[in-house]
Amino acid sequence: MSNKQIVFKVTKAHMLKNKKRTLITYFGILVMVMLMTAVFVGKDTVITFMKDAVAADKGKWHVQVYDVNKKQADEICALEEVDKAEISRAIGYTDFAQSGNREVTPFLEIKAYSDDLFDWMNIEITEGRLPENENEIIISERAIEEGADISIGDQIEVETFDRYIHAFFKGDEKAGDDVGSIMFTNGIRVVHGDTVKAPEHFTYYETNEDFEMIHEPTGFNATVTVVGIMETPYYETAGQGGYMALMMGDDICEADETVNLVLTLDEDSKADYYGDILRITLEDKTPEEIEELIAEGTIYVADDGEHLPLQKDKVVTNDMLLTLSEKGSDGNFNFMVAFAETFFIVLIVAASLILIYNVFSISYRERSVYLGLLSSVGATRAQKKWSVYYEVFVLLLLALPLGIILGIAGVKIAMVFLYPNFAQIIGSISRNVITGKSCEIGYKIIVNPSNILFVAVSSTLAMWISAWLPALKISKIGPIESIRGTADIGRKSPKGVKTAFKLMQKGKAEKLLASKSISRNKHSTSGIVRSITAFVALTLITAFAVNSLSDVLSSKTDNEDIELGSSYTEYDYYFDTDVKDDYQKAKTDIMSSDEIAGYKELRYDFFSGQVALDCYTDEYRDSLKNILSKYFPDELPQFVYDLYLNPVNAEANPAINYITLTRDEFDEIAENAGIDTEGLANPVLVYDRVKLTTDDFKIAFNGAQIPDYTAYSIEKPLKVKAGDTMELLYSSYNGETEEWDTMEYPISFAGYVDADDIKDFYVVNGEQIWMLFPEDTAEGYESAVTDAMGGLPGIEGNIIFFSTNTDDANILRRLGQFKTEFGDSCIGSADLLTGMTDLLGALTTIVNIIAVCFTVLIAVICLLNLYNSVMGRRLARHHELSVLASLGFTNKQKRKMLLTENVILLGKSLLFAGLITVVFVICLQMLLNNFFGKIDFTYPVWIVLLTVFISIAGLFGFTYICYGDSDKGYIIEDVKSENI
Amino acid sequence: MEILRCENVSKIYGSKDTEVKALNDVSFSVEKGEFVSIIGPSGSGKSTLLHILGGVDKPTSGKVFIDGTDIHSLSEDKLAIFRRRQVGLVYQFYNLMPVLNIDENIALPHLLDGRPLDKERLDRIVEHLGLSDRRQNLPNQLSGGQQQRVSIGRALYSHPAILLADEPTGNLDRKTGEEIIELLKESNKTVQQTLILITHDEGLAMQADRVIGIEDGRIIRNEKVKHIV
Repeated sequence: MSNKQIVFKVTKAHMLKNKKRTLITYFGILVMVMLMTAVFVGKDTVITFMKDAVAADKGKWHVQVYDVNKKQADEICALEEVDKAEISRAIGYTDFAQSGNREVTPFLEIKAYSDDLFDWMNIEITEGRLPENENEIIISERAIEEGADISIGDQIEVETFDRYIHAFFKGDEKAGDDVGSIMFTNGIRVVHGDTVKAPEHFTYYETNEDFEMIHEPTGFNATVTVVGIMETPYYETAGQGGYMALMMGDDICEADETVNLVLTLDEDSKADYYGDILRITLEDKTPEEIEELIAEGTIYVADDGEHLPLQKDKVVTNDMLLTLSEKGSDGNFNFMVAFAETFFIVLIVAASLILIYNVFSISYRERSVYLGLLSSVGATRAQKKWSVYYEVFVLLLLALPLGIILGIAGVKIAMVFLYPNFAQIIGSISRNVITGKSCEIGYKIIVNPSNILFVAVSSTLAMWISAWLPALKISKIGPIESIRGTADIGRKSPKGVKTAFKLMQKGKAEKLLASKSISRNKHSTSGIVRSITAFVALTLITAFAVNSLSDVLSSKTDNEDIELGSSYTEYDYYFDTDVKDDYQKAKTDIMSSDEIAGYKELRYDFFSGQVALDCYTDEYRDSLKNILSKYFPDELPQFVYDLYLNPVNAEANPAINYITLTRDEFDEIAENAGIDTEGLANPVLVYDRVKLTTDDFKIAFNGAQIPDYTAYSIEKPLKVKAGDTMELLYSSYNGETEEWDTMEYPISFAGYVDADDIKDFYVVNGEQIWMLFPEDTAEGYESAVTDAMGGLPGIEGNIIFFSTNTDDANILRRLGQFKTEFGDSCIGSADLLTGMTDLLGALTTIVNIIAVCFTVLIAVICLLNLYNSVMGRRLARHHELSVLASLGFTNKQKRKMLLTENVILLGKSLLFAGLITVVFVICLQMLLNNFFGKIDFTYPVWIVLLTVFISIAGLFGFTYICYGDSDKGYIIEDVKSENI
Repeated sequence: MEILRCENVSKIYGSKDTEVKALNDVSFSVEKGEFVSIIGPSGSGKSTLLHILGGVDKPTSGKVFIDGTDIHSLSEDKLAIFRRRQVGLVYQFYNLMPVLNIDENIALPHLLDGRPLDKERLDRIVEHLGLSDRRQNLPNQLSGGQQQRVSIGRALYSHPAILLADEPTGNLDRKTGEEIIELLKESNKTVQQTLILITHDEGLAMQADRVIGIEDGRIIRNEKVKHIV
């Protein structure tokens, strides 16, 4: 028998004897392995599920490269980061005589896809089959829905052409003059005198006096047979001039042709795919041309630092899908995905380390007895240390397989419960964003062997770390102190400790015992302090981190919009139309109908005027400049100053939005905010926050490389005082004078309102100031604008919410007859408007759900730890309590002592936890602000209160459970049992 | 005047096959201020008897009256209050509170009774026990003899009517043991405190006013000791 084996044998016997403690240690290790497995398996499973959801939106492809020749295509396909490539050919437009909507969509826009591309692009056949050659075609379902006279088996004569726009010179202008340009949809600008090829999905225009639409034949003429009808592809929009039609093409790029390449990337590759592809697409350009492109547009900074001209319309990415593979163009999101994963692993390891460390620390005395005895018969320090390692690694060996199985099973079970939520969220995306149809997205549990290996290695490492310190301490226990059972009393000065005369003179025995027990019995009390601190700090850290990440995501997903508060959500239906007369008729019907239980209007106006930049605070102006500088890191061009920073025209000042309220609603909100509007002419309330973000300028600087997301939340952006009069500006372009006409309308700034003041009505977001107008202010402003400019300001919206007395109300049928310009019903379920979300919003919700699950699990580990600590202390005090009982200590006194102890322990723990959490939160917010600008962080106050409450309830509850049975049995048995 | 009466006390451990009768129908009484020693070989039941007298163990049958009160009929809390006021227990293994220093350990039963510290009395006891220079030390910083002195100080501090000592010298050397016995005897004489001492040392037992001998859980001897002055 080797010198270690005897120690192992004794340790094994000790483990079997102390079954309860051994089981708690085992359970702690098991939970750690289980959670770590769950993090990895869960992350892979959810990410795969989200990828499927994103792929259901835009397809499985990662990158599309337009207009590449054979050489470029071959080079791109040969890149190490490219996994697979397919070819898409833009065959061209053809006249579609069968169209049911020739005024808007008179063409077919034909593409040829190589085999797998139909799958990559989510082409779903609703009728018929996929095409098998160039003589077969499938047509978008939208054509059928809009009344196209076409069905499967029909033949179409195809003579394809490309569309060009030629903008005429005006008057005497000629080439070389400083001429203007014409803006078209899709962001196309054509300078007078120029001819530009229309891009894919371009809107239908007819030739007029300003421009000419030219159809240039491509030479592809054929008679094709319609073999299928496909669901409307995600990229087809209602306004485009041609219905999408697809045929089968081959996947070989010929020497003389130009194709579009569609790629999937190797997800493990870290190469700079965007830079590599961009370089290849620029190969046919001279250095001068590249310089020119850089000077004209914006740059992409490749991984090696090279500046390349960004060609957003040439190299297109499926960004959200790439983001989920940490390859998105938005570095912030990549950072957040990696951060969230690391964060949870660190948290679980930390919670588990504390649990395991505590188990060994708490059993210090008990362990010291048998190890002291071993020591007295010659066991060395190393042998004593190995007894701890033996215990840890035997338990780990037993916990690893079961923990991994339970972790995988846990994810499976969690997904059963979470999937309906996920599916609902994803379903709501598909309803609102994609095609209006719901899509079924299943999930599969992803178990990656390398992750399992990582779990095994990191668990072993975590165990070694958590056992190391207790092992070191235990190895130092001498035989005498362990046999005397005093090893757990801290080393004190030889002179002893100060007598607590103050407490003694007051006769406060319980307080004396409690305070001395805590201050002089570090091992068992620090275990409890550690447990509560860990529980509170880890739970709050998780809550704050998740909240902060959620704030960042919300900041990124909050657009210029209004969300409706509780005063709207109580209604069942909404009526919404842009046709003013229809709206008035419906409103009159709703207001006068006996079948209506209640109604409420929402009246808003976007971009409804400007407030001069001079009225804004310095903070606002500085933030605006910082945001703009992100797009132009070297130097801000003059046009940015003219348009944004020193507006040369009134219309360039920051725009505002407003909501029109009834006088009662206005007064109620003013009262909520403590604002007196009495005696003010044209009073307005102003929402006290605006948020400037880099995303706000994506459209304005279309084509520029979007910088890493940065946001500045600005409080009270106007430098005005309550009661001040300010001018609301409104500008309108005068076609006759070719000048901007501007009018001013005086309004009285009544004061700022915050989110809380308006929460029952609205949640408003955006870069522009939101103003709240009472009806008379709104009417005054609108009639002033109408008088001066001949039309209403901005983009007006009117929605009326209502509920009926019965489900089968006639008014629902009457209102159902109103249709929008697209033929949709103007009436809908109010849930659709109050519960709308987008993809990012859905992902945020999913991340939040997962985060809550992990927070709960981590909290469970910590509570287990707390129970273990309380029980450990109880067992360590067995003798002490028995001796006290023999001296006449009553149960009431014991409860009082325990109460005092718990108050002291809680005070200490909450103080530590508070400090740790505050430091963490400050660091986290600094880090996130550093990455994202100035985020408007929210604080999970309820979680803080709940956590503190659970920690208090947990400590008192566990104390009750652990100490409750100490009164049973005879005191002397306990007194005697502790004597060696 | 009778202060303690023990009536037909029996104590049985285990059940059926494993049943052990630690005490078998034990009856005796003790007068106030009397010094009684209980002797017997190991396992005879003398410690069990002392613990039942002190209210820290319960008899299987029989009654124990102290000052006319049947202590085992008291509720748990009342018994605890009775113990801290009427009984001083000195154990062979001291059983001091490891987290309290000497001063705090000695005053503990008094403080448990909700009474404020009598500093003068504490000083007197500590000085008398010869612990003046160690009063701030924790128990694990003291020798066995010193710890036993502290345990006696704790038993004496709150003037209990009965002092019960369970082999208080069993863990000490002869000289220290004698000093401890002197302390107990002194307390018995000076303040008329009833002292019941458990020992298996015949010589020590004979220093008492009366000796009760126990064997196999039965009293086999109960006789007064004649002291030759």
